[in-house]
Amino acid sequence: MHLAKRGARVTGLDFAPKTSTRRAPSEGAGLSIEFRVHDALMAPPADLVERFDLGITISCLAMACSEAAVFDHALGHIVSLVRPGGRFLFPRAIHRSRLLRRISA
Amino acid sequence: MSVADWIARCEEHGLELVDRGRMGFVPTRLLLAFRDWPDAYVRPLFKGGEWLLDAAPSLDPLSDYKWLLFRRRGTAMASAAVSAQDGPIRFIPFRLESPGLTFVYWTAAALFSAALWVTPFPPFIDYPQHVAVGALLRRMVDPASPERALYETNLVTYNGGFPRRSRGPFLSDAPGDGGQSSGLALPPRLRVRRPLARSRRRQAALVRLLRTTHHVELCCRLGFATTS
Repeated sequence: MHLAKRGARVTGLDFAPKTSTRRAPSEGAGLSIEFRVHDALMAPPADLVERFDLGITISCLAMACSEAAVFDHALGHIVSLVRPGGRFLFPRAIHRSRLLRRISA
Repeated sequence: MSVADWIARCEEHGLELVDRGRMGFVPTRLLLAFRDWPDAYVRPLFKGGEWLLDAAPSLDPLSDYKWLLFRRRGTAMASAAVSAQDGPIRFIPFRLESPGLTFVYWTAAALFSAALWVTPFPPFIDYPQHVAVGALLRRMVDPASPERALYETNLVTYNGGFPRRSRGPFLSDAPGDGGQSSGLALPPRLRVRRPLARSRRRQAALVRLLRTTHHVELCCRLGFATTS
């Protein structure tokens, strides 16, 4: 919604069927965001391949794809969604900070 | 995986690292986590923490998140190549909140509960020792019991509900009855609490109330299981 408010055409993908419930807030805000139910481990929909200028994953790879093989599998699919020259942003949790190690010790 | 691993794997998939940074100043996040501050405080505090992270690279270990920005190279990764990776992959067969996983969860819960009717001492972690300690504590209900000279009970611990429960008129002498009671009570408890706790419109006060009642009930139930 943050990007859509700034003029971006946004498509949201999530494997959970409840994704459709996310439409309500965006529609209420007058934003046209396309939400689709899709699993990153499945081949991407043909109409979305190389369609995007920017891809952002939020927790998908860091949380749901912790095993190397699964990570590579999902990453390959996600990469194919962005056109050549397009950008990818991966915000990811790194729970290796000194403070967090102290807390969890 | 480390950040270096992430970058290496991304580069293998035709991505080129353009920029990187950090976000989520842990001290600020912890400070904001303990209280539901007004938005007027939250925004400047959070932004102040992020500013510190940007201004002082040495604070990198105190960032909770890293961000990596990549650019996709050329046309190396064509969709056909992606499709070629779509062979069978073996991983978790169940998905969160799917009917299959829900069935497995309740089946496991039923099997664990059923074990309490098969034997009074199922091999649950801690359970036999709770029952054993409970037998001891039950003897301590008698003011003349010799155990009173050896032990004392602490009402403030999570097992602290047992002395009151042990004097209840409904308490059976059979070991394990408390466990059976707790097992029977679990499904209706979850049925009531789960939708409340997951409500999108839940209020902080409601969450605190649920936590409190859950803790109090836990005290009593564990105490009940212990003393029976």
